[in-house]
Amino acid sequence: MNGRPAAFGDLVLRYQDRLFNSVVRVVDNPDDALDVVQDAFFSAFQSLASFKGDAEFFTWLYRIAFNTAVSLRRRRRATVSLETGRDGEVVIDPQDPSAETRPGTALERTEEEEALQTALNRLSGEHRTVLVLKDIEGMKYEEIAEVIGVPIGTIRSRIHRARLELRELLEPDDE
Amino acid sequence: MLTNADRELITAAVDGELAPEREAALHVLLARDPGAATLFACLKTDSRRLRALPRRPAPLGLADAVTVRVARLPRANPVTPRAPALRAPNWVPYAVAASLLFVVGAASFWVSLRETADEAHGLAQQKRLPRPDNPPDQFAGLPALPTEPSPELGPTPRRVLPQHTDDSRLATLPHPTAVRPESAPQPRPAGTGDVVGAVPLTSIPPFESVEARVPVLAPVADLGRKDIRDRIVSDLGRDQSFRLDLFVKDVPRAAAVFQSAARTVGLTVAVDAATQDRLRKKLPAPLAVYTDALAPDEVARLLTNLAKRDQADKSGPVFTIAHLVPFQAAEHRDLRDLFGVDLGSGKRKAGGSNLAPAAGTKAKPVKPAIVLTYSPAALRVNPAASKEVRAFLDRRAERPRTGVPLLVVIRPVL
Repeated sequence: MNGRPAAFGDLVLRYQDRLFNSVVRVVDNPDDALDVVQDAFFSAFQSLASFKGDAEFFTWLYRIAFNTAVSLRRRRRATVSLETGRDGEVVIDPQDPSAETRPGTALERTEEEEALQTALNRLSGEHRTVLVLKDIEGMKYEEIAEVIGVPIGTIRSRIHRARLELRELLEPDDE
Repeated sequence: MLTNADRELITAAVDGELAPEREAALHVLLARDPGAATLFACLKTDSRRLRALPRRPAPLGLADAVTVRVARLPRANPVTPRAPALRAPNWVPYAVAASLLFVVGAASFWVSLRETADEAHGLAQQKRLPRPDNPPDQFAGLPALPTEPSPELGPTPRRVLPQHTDDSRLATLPHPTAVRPESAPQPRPAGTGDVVGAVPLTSIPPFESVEARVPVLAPVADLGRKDIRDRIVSDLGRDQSFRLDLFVKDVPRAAAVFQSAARTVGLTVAVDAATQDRLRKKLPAPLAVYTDALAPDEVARLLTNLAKRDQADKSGPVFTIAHLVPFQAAEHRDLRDLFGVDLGSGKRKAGGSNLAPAAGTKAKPVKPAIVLTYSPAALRVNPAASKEVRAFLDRRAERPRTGVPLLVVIRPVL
């Protein structure tokens, strides 16, 4: 690629949908997911020289994206958004942290999707991540271990606990 | 009652990661325990539901935004892999230096020994010679000295000695006690490389003082300091228009802090719609904030308040460095490009406002400012299509006459 931005743009187009779909299920906020995915691609471009080809490119890209998502969760802070008032002057409103009240984040969801996403959001970040990678991305234990950077045994036990926890969260809705 | 091992067996089966030798154990468990079968079925259903979630495509423009960000990175020269160089041991440079020092020292010692020997020989010669009472021309018969020694000659000789030590001739020679000034070699002209023989400066021309203006470059945190404020006010009074670069860690957050500080000096900041959209998406493109409604002391006050608010921000300071420079031709072009018209940034508004307030009214002076996308140029809004730009240009006519045209560029630190 020799650092050519245009060539990297083709790579972004190839993987952006798949990556965004997974990240948005983990962070449950399209704006945050957009930030994470953009930052991940940008970091990937800067780190292309370090990609040794010993893993699938997408697995490597995923690793960057999920590390970025973890960083985002850790530095979660109040942000200020610029919106214009009636006369075109800018009014600053502190951003409401609850997902339901944030403009622009309301997704058109079916009840089924709503229930599932709500349950996913109540899982811990680690459990949510492994379930998304296993069921939504269809990755095997080894690939998930590669992405997250923990041993396979840890992945196995995390998924085990995540499934049981999700079951408990979904059980009242199923009754 | 299911054990933990049973549950792990079930979840591994749901994951499709069950080893073949354990499948039989799973079948036995499911057949033996209805609870296990129920759990297995529920977990399989949960997994199927997750897989069936609708795919969320990436928003439009994501690839473009990444490409823009990537294109702004400084280009690195491709590094061609080289064969690993043979590395000399660490002591080699020191050994080379020591050898050179030894050679130079030895050469100096040898040269000084030669000179000493020559002097001793010369002195010995002088002691053997008789002193005549009426010395004739002491230097008759000696080779003529050059009047203008050529620069390529060696060091100035200290003694003038005959080349041939013939006893008969030596007997007639006087005792050369000293070299007379009039016969001594002429000093080499200046500029021949001999520092000791250089022509002394007889008259030193007076130094000319040059006043160099250095742009204000300071951490944003220091913009509240009195010396920096005074410097800013002074600089803003000396030129027509200025560009203020504010380097920041997060452009959208910095824009919000800037807007908050701008309100304290009565600046009304409008944001172009396309730029608003980019801010909401937290795209890091540099922003331009233009106003020509603030007097120099108001600009200084704005920057002081900016520094205070930035330092007090709970998320930590977002501004890093401020850089204030007078407009060059590029900035005038940028303004024409951003606004589609010549704002007259080369001259400050003269005279009073045409819209003088009616008698008895206390109209507040209007101080408009506008935020636009600054770069890349391809992302700049078409000014004719932006109602915010048109509104700004309309309101601009009412600005105070002491305003300084100021283009603030909020740039991300890469």
